[in-house]
Amino acid sequence: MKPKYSLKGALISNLVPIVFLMFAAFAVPMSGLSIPYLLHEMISRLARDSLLVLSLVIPVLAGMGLNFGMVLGAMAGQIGMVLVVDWGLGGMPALLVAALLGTPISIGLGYFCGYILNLAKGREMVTSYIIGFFMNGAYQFLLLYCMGSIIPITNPELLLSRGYGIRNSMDLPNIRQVLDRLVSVEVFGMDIPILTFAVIAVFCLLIVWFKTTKIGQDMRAVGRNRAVANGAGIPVEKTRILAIIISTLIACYGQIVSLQNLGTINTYNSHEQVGIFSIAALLVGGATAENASIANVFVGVFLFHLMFVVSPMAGKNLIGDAQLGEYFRVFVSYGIIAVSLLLHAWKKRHEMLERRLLENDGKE
Amino acid sequence: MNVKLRRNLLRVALCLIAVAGGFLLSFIGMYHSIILDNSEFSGAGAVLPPLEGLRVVSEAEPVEMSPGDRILVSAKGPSTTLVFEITSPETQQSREISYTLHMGFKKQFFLSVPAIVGGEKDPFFVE
Amino acid sequence: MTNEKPLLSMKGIQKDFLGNRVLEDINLDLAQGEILGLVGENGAGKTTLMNILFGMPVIQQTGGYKGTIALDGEEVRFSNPNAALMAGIGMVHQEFFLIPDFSATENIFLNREVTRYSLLVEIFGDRLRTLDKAAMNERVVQVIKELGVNINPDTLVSEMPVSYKQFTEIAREIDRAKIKILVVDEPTAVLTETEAEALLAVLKRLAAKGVGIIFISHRLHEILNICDRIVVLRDGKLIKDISSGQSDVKSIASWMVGHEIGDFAFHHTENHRKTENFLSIDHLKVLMPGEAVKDLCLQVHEGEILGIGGLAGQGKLGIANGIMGLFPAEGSVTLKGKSLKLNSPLDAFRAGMAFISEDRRGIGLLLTQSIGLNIAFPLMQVKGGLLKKIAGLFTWEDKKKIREITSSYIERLDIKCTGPDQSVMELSGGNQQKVCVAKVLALSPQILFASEPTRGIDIGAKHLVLSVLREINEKEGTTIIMTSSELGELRSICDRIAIVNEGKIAGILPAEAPVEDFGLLMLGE
Ligand SMILES: Nc1ncnc2c1ncn2[C@@H]1O[C@H](COP(=O)(O)OP(=O)(O)OP(=O)(O)O)[C@@H](O)[C@H]1O
Ligand SMILES: [Mg+2]
Repeated sequence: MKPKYSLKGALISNLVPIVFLMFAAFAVPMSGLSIPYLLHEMISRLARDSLLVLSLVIPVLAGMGLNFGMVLGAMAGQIGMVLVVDWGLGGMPALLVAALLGTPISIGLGYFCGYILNLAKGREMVTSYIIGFFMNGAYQFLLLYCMGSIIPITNPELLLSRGYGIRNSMDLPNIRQVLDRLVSVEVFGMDIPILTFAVIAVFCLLIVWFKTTKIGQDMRAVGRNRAVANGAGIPVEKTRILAIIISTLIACYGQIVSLQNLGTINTYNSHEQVGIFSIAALLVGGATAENASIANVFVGVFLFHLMFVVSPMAGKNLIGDAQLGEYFRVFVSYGIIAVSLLLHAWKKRHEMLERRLLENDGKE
Repeated sequence: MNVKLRRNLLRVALCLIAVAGGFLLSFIGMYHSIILDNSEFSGAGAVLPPLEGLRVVSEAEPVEMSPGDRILVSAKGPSTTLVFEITSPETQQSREISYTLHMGFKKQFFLSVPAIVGGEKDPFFVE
Repeated sequence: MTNEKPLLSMKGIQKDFLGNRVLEDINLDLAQGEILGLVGENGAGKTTLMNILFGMPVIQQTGGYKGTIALDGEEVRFSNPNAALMAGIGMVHQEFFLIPDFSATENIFLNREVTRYSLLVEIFGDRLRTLDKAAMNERVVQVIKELGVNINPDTLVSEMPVSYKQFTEIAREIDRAKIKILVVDEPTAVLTETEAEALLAVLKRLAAKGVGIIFISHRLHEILNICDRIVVLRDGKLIKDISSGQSDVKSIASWMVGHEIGDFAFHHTENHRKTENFLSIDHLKVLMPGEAVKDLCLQVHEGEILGIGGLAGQGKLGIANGIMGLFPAEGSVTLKGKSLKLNSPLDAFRAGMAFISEDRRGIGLLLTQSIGLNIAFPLMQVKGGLLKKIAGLFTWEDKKKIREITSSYIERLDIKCTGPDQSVMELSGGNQQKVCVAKVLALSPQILFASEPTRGIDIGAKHLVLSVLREINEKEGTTIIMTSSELGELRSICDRIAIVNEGKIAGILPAEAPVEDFGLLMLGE
């Protein structure tokens, strides 16, 4: 209900990306890194992470906040990858088979997560975070104890020396960047992974299209006002579960794309920070727990990773110590999350205060 | 036909296609290790000596093999073609023999080059 | 009536809310094509009875009901609104049942969208059909035209004036294909007389098509105008079931409250401090959809009650909404020579202004909180806010004080409740409106904008609310700018009345001026 034309309004609603842009404008020259290098890095990182961050959009649409449970999808993708590596697959077929394997796992995990979130309406974010934690335990159990004992693993190189359980890290020699390199063009000496971006574009289009379907509309309705949606006969719980399943699936594919880009799996770590980083990136892109667009995804990934690349060097040049630069990097990346959450909290408070006094829309 | 039935059939069909596709992709995309051995081979009847001046062209870089050597090459997909170039040290004449191996889902093969070159039906080593 | 089976028959309905009996042995029939008027004081149980019929979740959550409901002679017991919808019952709720961030079309077609086939339907099912926005918009334009208003189908509900919200909700119900019974719970409370007439005409047309209609209103002349039969509830009991030909406003009112009520009239006292240039509004423009203010100048004297009247859509509601920062505004507003920052609700509040919104249904009542907290909240935010006090941290003494203040308002405004600790959600619509009034009065504002302050309040309590407004005007010197669609109400309490036409002041007359003069001004002559 704010005046649409007000500059202040536009600034406030894009406050987070603007702050990070300003920070970047300061840190980029500070770091001494060349623009072509940064550009190259950004392109590679956009290809790597966009899909993961994209997976967060649908649950926001359905009013379920930022889905920390997306790590379940990442786990599913990773399980698919481990099995594919064990079977000795390589190239594009390996990615496709990993995706095929990850699909039912993601659907199952997504259903589970959605079911639990339905029991915890209004506290979805914290609950999904806890589910992520809890399922991480299950994941570790599966890979550390079941694989190689109950689930046959044929390639002894993948196993720990005790004979069961998957090793800490594995290389993906036959999978490394197969998607990125299959179709790529060189522009100014930079390889642009066309196919990867095409895959991301397809998912973006799917999401855009999805919003024009009945189920997309139902999700929006459920997200905006559960009581009214329920009153109109929309199956609220089912719709919410579907939103989480879709999110988990996209996260699963996103993790597969991301792993092929990296070329290695840290069996017990790769997925862990995916949730935090993706959410931080989305927030940096100007999204909120109530509103997230595809533009937020790309702006967010770009700005977040720009900070990520630039901050250690900037820190080093500022403080003069590589090790300190490293701390600086960790500090900044977590700081980003804290700052954006704080900014959002502030914005929300500001809006809420106005709203209540206005005697308007108190029902929502 | 009833819409529900049609859709369910379609869904089942798609699931089957996905599973079949998975198998097909695994078939195509699987990497196999092939151990090539260039030592004396005693198969059915004849004893074949190791080959001199042998060069193997596989999916990876071409490799020279001396008698008694063993190398590991990896190959992708349902089948691979190995080309053996044998240059006789005396005459400097070379001949090429290509051999197509159908690998299926088996991951490791252990082959004797003299047996392949000698036209043996069963060039596999049994360990 | 004929001896054929009634369309709807409710028998022996009884409802308790945690031991508090609000309905007792209600028997009610409705025939095809009949319009039944349901009247009663605030809190008499009208909405509750209709919620039972419609299977609203709140009824289940509070222990269900006793009695039977038969539809076409068949007993039904709806466990959710969707089941009632499926059975052909539509309901226009007293509290809006709309999604604010959705457009008119999206709300009207919620969960019955017009869709197109898409290939993925074959795999993922019908929910993957795509929406046909164009077709829906077309139909919405048609339905809305039928209602005699002009709403853009793409307008978001949150940006609509309250009457448009009401029409959107009505449009949703009448557009349903197989509707048999339509319940409309105080649909006209937010409408001006002309708008209400258009709506009544639509209802009559529906009834002529055979739809049974239950119509709830506190405007008794409307009830007499369109209803075939009138049912009066008092304190949860059915007092009267009578054909409308045999009754008149006075007798209905006395059945409602249980005793005779006299005419209301206030004695105009002339002791107001008439300071010129107290609040001056210059060239105000407000972008409020449907109620735009175009270029309005107005001088308000200190200590007066200024009425603002006018036809619907001419901009009378835009004035208060614009000055209080609810809708984008331009121009200048000066209070005692100091210029006021526009588009900033907080500044408006801090300048000593307060607002009773005509949009009671969206009113920032904290529905799940107690009456006490609701009344105290703005007080703490605006006044305590300056002292840097946090809302959540009151001391024991504060709590006691809140209860005291609350109790005094409950008594003064006759709020029907179990006590200051009852949550606002559990109050009847009219009593929620009274809490809104109390909440603003507790602020002791210098200037009070009261837009439709008696909305949804029954005929008896109306007088009470108006006299409380009069009282603070006289005792505390509060300047009141009151907007109302009922000219009679304005004339009974105001000193001067400004009539708004096409976003500008058409003229200002003393309240005693003849009605015809007001009529001419409203028409812009
Ligand atoms: N959820 C609830 N919990 C407890 N009491 C309730 C609840 N809903 C309504 N009541 C009580 O039931 C009584 C009847 O309320 P109802 O809303 O039916 O009144 P109404 O006739 O519609 O009045 P109005 O004209 O003000 O809308 C009121 O005393 C109200 O406090
Ligand atoms: Mg009511």
